[in-house]
Amino acid sequence: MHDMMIPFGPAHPALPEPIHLKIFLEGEEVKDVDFFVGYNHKGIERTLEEMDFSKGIFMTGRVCGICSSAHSTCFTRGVEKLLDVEIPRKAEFIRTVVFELERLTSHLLWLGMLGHEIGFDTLFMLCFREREYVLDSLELITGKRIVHDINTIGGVRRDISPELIKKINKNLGILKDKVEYLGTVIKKDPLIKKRTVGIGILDKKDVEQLSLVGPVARASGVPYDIRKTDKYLAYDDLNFKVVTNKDGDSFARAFVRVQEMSESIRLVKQALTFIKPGPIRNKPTLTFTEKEAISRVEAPRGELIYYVRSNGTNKPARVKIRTPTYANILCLGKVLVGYTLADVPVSLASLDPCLCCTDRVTVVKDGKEEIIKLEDLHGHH
Amino acid sequence: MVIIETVFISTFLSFIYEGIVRKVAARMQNRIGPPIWQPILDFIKLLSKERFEIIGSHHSFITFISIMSVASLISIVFMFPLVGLLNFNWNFILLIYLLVFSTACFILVGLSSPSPYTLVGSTREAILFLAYDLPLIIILLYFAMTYKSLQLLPANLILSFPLLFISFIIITQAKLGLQPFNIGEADQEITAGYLTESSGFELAMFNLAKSMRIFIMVSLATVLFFNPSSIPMFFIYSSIILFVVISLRVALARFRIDQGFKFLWIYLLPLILIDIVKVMLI
Repeated sequence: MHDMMIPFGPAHPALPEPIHLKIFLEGEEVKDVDFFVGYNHKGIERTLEEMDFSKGIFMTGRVCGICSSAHSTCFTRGVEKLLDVEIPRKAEFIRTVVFELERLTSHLLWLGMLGHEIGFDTLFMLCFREREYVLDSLELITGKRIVHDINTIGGVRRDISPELIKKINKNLGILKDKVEYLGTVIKKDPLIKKRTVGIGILDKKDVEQLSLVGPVARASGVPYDIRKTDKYLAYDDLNFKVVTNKDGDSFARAFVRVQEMSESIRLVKQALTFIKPGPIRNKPTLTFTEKEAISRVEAPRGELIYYVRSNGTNKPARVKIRTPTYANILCLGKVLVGYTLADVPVSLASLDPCLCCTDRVTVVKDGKEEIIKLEDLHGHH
Repeated sequence: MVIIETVFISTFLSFIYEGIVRKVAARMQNRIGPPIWQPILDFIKLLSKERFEIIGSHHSFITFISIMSVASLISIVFMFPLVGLLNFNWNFILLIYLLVFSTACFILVGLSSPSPYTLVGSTREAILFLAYDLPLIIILLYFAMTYKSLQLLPANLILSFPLLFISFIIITQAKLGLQPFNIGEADQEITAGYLTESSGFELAMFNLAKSMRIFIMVSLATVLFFNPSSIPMFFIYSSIILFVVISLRVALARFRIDQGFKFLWIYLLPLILIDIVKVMLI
């Protein structure tokens, strides 16, 4: 029997997101972990079936507060596959710019959170200060700082003018130095290294067995990046490298994300050079046939999959979202067990979990397992 | 009358010191930060708050301990040469006892509640206490040996014992529970650590005790290492030490408990011994 059970969440200072972990300790060592999600189920997949496709784009933008544009781009691409529309090349570049800027905000926020988890609040404050440059750029492009809503069926809603390109390039120039500085802080600070090196190790075999995605997989030496494999949006015209690291510990995951930030800045700068005056939207006729489509993108946290099916009406018959955290949450047992209680927030943060997007409905009836079909769930409506 | 004045002035100064720590740390982190009188407002507000009686906790004992932690620290203020109220021949021994007791209060409050967070916090604080208290006692007793007196006398030892001064600052950091030694209150792991279940009057008292610890450790360092001749000089030296303490708090991350323990035993203890042996050889 274990000495003590420490409840971790659903409201906890380490992770302001609704997950409940039961951590079983012997002394300070973690012996077992049990986790529960489902505190914040928003019912978005069901809501999407009640909305027509063009409104659904705004709804999907609100699945996640940090990777808003990843979700809406993924859904929009699915809908465009249903309609067989080609979008203007310029719109693809604008989407790429917003997409990569969003990756920057997400990674900067994450780096700050890592600092916060190891008691290094200064790093948190600095990351949030530098993040302002990205948020300002996003505000210039989309008019919004957090939820961007740039996508629409057949293109984008706002153009990037040459003056804007100048302003964004200026912001990115400042940000580049700051990100490089943050990289040296991570690399050289002895206390950050002490707390992260060798903590929460995931090797290549674990990644393959548990189908982990995103920076978590890349930090264990698996070069899995949808931007390279699918070449969606404008990524086939842009030159970037997939950052990998073979160590697989929390430090490797931190370092991969810092290097990805530099790559993102490079990508945005490249994409901005391709933006020339021209149309930003092909307005398609919204006539749907019975069809289904799968689209995937590389969100800041990894591979994001949308499955969209239409039944001929202007509302989707089914939308299924597979968020990257849903794939990554399986490795919690691997990264937490065997380390100490003080390592729990570090390992947990190093996975960059976004649990609000991960919540699923669980039906528990008298403690028995029961298979419920989708039709039954929908039938009561 | 002098006693009441001393209590009020030391309490006020403790709050101001805590306010300075918060404000300067905030400015270093590029934040605006609270005004420096914020701890006083916090204290008044906490006194007006409801006290939650946790089932299974020793409530009256916690109240008693919270008052004792403040009382023990105020007694230390009475010993300072500039105050001179508890000015007898062996007050150095009493000082060591009271410093130990004030930390013991924090460990006891965690053990008197049935929550796992306070239990883990107290255990960590007790382990850390073992690591930094012996070096602290060695430093203090060494001063007593050099001066051949068990009385707290002002001394000017910064030049002859620079390594002792560095060790004293590190111990201050551990004693105050600031980075890199805020292990017992690591809020990302165990919420507020040993103070998780405290509320209202007790929390106000423990916060006062924490502010007072800052005031006392910084003043002790000033008195022992700089020998301030007048009250303005005392505050000038104190602010220098306070600045060093805040800089360390801002610039460092937190140790894990085993790393903190190892650091204090493997690096700090030899540092002190080098300085002492050096003087003995000369």
